[in-house]
Amino acid sequence: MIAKERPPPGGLVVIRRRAPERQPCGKLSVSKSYPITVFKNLKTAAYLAYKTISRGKKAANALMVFIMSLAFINLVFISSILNGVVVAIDRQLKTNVVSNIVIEPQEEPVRKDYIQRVQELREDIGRLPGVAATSRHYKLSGTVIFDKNKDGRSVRRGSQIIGVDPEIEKDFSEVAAKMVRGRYLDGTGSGDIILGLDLAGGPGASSTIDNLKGADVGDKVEVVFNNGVTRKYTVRGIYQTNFALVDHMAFITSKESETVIAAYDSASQVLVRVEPSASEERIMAGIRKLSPALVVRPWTEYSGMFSGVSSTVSTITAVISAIGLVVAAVTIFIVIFVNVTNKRRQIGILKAIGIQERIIIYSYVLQALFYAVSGVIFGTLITLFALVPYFASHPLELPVGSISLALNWTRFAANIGMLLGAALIAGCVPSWQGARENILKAIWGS
Amino acid sequence: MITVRDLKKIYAGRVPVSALRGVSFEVARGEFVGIMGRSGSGKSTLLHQLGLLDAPTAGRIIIDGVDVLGLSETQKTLFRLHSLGYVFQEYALISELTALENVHLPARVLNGRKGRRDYEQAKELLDIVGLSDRLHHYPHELSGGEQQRVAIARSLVNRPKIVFADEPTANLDSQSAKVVLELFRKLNKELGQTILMVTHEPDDKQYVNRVIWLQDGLIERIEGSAAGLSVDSRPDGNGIQ
Repeated sequence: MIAKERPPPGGLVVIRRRAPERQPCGKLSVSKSYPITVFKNLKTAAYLAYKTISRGKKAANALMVFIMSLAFINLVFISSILNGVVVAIDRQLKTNVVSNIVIEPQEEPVRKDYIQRVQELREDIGRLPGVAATSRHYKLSGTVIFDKNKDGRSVRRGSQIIGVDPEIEKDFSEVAAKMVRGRYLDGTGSGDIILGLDLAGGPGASSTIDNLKGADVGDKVEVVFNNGVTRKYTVRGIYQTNFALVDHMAFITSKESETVIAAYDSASQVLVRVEPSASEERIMAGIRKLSPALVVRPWTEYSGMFSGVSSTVSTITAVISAIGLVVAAVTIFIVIFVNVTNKRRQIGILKAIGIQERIIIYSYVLQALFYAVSGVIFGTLITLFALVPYFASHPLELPVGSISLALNWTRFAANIGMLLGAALIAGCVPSWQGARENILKAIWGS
Repeated sequence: MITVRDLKKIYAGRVPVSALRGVSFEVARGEFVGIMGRSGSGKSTLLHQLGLLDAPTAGRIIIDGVDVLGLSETQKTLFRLHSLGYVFQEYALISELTALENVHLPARVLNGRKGRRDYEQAKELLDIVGLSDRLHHYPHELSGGEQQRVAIARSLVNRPKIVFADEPTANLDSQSAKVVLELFRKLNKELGQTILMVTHEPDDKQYVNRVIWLQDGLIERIEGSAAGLSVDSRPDGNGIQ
């Protein structure tokens, strides 16, 4: 211990030293003599990292955090927008096509075209716990014929025509709420039909799908059903769900459908909507118990071609995320590498005065983590408070519906973990290389 | 305090260079030893080996009873932290730290953040080197002489057994150089600090107890004497016994 005494006249202060601690000769156990814990090393590393960052150029730090934010947003945004496509497809399917569970006519031992005694079946299903609502559909096919100018040059388009109970369907699908012209069906509308915009054609219709070249409200169309029955309908309304599959359909009432196929109290499908907290599996089991002969399927089995889209989107997301992650890691690596290169002499000095390599490595890794964590924080704030609200109010309009950002929190957390992991590695490698360098080479640059 | 035996250093390369060719000498506790010689004589190389900044090709270095060449790299680092102080030719301060933080850093590493006494001691050391009014200045805000005095204060903060100084006045003007050398002398006389200093200025001899002259990697002669040690100034390069 050095103790300072009053300086002698005209002299330097006198410092007195405590007798140095003797080390045992020859066999010195340095690790026992100098117990420096990992915690202490981390504290020192954090101190050096803090000083380097706080005394560094503010603009350079801000730029680095900005780059990390962009890297993080890149990871989150691409996966969220692609996830939004999958979510939109799923939502459209569940809302406008098949709901949660679909019940179809028996296939074994004899295949039947329709489910019989549907009213009773729906009432039984409605009593199952967790069932929110049921609906029935008649799935008919036919050709819609429209002679716009009444000159004999009609346009014919094949389409699926769905028979629905209008009052029930209003609460079951979005179609009633998505009328762009005219009105929805009502219970007595036996001569009425509503057309999807992509089937009707005209302003706003998809240009890539063949349509009726502008059938509008009040127009008369003729439908030739596949069973040979021909009916004339008045177009009561045009709807647009933004889901190409639905927007190329037409809807008539169930009563009208029954007259076409000469059926009563039956259906091609019974759709079951499940309460959000309920188990689809359990309800499906309950339905199978009620009617063992019927075919009961979850909505996912109807995603068909869309499941391919989902898996493709998942693959694209994974690839783009991996590229984004590599870009982020390389960015951090370059920044830390440049930092280490510029601080080569300083690292040599630190080692020369007795600072362990691991403290130096920790300090650079902590710097990398600081940039990554700051990037994650700013990236998260920008995503949650700028991008998500923006895309909620300005969704992307695609043939599968309106696409907004669909954050998957598991993936979000994984992205954070991956970026921090990348920062850890990207900070570790150059600092390890720098810290391993010979002290004299580092100091003199030779 | 320091025993050096047959120390050799060969720099590998296309043409290997023998910078030290078998140097032996001893330094007693409390000595202020100058290492002098022409450029390329091996004086800085010798100091680097003694300061554990480089590994010799052969020989032994025993510092305060510890055969330091037998230590692992981590142990050498800790030994430097605890027992050795080093003053470089080019100040070698950490640019992001103030004068006070630079001086305090080795103590902080050794004792942890709560070492308030170390902090006060760092202040005292800066006071001693005449920089009590520059505590919170960054290196770029200090003159060369001031930076070197900060480096000297830093070398002392962990109460090292030995301070090594590698041409500490080489980049200083004559006035600053004189201040630094006076400081070393007073630290040696009043603190009893053992100091080994490489210098190329013959005039610096006046500040030290002994001078080890090197030539072509060997001890040419030793001038002066140390209490308790018999000095042999044979020009055969084997120094004192």
